[in-house]
Amino acid sequence: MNHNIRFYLIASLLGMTVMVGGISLFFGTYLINKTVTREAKNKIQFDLNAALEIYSNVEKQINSGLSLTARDQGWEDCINDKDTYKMEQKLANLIQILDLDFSGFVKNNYTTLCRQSGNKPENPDTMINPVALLALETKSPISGTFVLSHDEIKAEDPKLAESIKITVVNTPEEESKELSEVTSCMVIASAVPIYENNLFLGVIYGGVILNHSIKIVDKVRKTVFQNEQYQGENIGTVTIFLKDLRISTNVLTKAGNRAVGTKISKEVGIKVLTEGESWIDRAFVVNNWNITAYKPIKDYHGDIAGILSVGVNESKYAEFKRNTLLVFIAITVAGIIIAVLLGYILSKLVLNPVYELIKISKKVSEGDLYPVIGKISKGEMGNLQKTFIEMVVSLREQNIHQKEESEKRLIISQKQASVGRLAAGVAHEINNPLTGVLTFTHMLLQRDDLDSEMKSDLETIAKATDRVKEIVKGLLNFSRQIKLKPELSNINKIIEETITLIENQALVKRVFLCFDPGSDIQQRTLDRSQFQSVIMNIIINAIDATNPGGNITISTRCNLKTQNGKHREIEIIIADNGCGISPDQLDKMFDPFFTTKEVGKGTGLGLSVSLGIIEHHGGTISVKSQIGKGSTFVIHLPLDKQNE
Amino acid sequence: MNKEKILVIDDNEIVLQSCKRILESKNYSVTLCSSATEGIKTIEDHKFSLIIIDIVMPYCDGIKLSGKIQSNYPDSKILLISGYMEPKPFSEIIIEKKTNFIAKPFTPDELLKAVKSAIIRDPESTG
Repeated sequence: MNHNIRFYLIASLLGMTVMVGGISLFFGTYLINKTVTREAKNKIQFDLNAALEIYSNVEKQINSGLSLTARDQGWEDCINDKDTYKMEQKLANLIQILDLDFSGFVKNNYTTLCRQSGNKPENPDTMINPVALLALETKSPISGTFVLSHDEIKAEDPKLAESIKITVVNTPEEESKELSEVTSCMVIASAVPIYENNLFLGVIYGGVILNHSIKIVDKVRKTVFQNEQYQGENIGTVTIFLKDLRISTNVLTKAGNRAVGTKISKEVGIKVLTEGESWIDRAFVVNNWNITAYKPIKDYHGDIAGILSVGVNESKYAEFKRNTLLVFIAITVAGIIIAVLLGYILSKLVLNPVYELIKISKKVSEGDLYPVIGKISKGEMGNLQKTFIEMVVSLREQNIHQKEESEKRLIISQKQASVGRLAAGVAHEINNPLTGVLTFTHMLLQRDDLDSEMKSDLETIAKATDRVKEIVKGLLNFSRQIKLKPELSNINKIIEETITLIENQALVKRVFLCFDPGSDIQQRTLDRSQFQSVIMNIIINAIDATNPGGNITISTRCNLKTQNGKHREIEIIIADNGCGISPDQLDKMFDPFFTTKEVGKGTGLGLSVSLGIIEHHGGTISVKSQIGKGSTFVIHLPLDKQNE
Repeated sequence: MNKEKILVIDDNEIVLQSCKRILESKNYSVTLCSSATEGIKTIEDHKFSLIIIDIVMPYCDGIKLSGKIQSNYPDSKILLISGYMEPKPFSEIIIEKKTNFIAKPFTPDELLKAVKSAIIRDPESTG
């Protein structure tokens, strides 16, 4: 039970901690997850905007570069002089400054006079750059994103046309498909008309190719993500799609190459390319999950040509979440440890006085009615201790009272038995001489030779003797009244009751009474009170003779006595491991008035009277003793005839 | 007249003499024994019409003695006497063995009456 209180205390503290820890862990994780995701989405949107800005800046740069070049003087001279060398120099200058992939000049008569590559068209009329053509027709500057065909690029530079080819990497579902190649090309390009002296001369054009390009994406990564790394890999990635195909990216494949040629995940493709909307959410990018933002890129004509996307590897956030979770778990674990410690200390604080009380209670139950209680605590525990002390005191009083009662009862019983035995003895002794007196008086009275005086004297003697006879009879009747109240009794039960009566007395002396009742003891007619007083008398003598810690064993059994035919008798054995009785005392034990106790402590009639009572029940008492080892009293009671 | 022979066993001399005096006055032939052992010896040699035995005696009490006598000589008739007035503690035995009893002290008339009825009494037919 003690264990349980400690257990419950610790368990409830632990339960509280686990509950609070668990709840905060759950909600904390939930909130952090939510916040982190929200923040990550906000940030990625911001990053996407920055990327878009850089992308459109490229376009603006080309446009303004071309515009500046268009304003240069000398374009007319060049055309008139057919000085293509000078023209080429201007273009080469332009390419160097703007880092263009292609550029050229188209005359107002729709002939391409010059190309950066120096590749002069075989059929100048038909192979005009589409961007330049738009500017020629509108006679105004044009700029934007364009998708050019393989032939259109080939017209600019056949070598360039080879380098823009992209081999499509099939998705796992399309693995069986044959490898295909994309040859069209996405470019950012611009074309600007040239006027000299209000005369429209033609257009210059230029652009950058995005297929396989790393310039823009790496620039965005550098600017937006500042090349932040996590576990050796760049966290941020930037990709430009042509339709659903990665044509320019710094997302790496497992092999560590740029993932050019891979496709967008299906659901993002539908949302962005088909519905033309932005995507800001988690998405699977090539081989891991990213927080991503996608925005469609519209070409000059307003059609969706591709997508610009940025992404941040989720593992960065995952680690943050994991760390937070670990902190929460650490706090909970610390809480649990503290709860256990606190519970242990608290239970110790609360339960120690209880354990102390339990120990003392045990002592009291063993008969020590003067236990040392120690320091009285404050509060409820103190009240408990005080109540306990009160209980012990009243127990003590009750014990003393009970002891007095049982002693009183024993003394009365012994007195009655003594008086009875004395009266019976006296009656018997007086009756013998009385027989003589009566006989001879009556014999004398029968004589014929008596004178009247003698006769009257003899009659007086006879009458007086009759009177004595009546007195003795009365005395005997009196003794008989108290002496025998025989009833059918259970001997084991009487012994049990007797032990209950003197148990406290024994416990006070720390002598242990042990009763081993025989199972086959039949009921027998006897005087309960007298028999009880015999048993009590012998046990009390045994308690007096036994040192603290000693034992008194009382047992009963049924014997078959074969002497003088078959008789059954009950044997009651009262054995102690006390001081024992010396042989010379043993002989006198049952004499009336023999006692070993101090004057005033015993009447000395005890054992003699006990013997008398047992003899009147037809039984015997015998005793065996060894000095220092103890004594054994054995009472034999023959069973009633009717019981046999 | 054929004299009836009576044996009295008692440890008290006055009681023995009293019995002898009363019974001889009525022409009974009386033998006295002051102990159980002496009594048993006497019974071996002589046949008695009645044996009077005191219940409370040292060494061998009257109940035991009468039991012994009756088991050896089933015909013998016994009258128990005792100073305890009524043979309460022994009543069961007396009733069972169909033994007669008279309490001490007794007057000559009481003794004679008890002796007569004890001799006449047939142990087998009376209860």
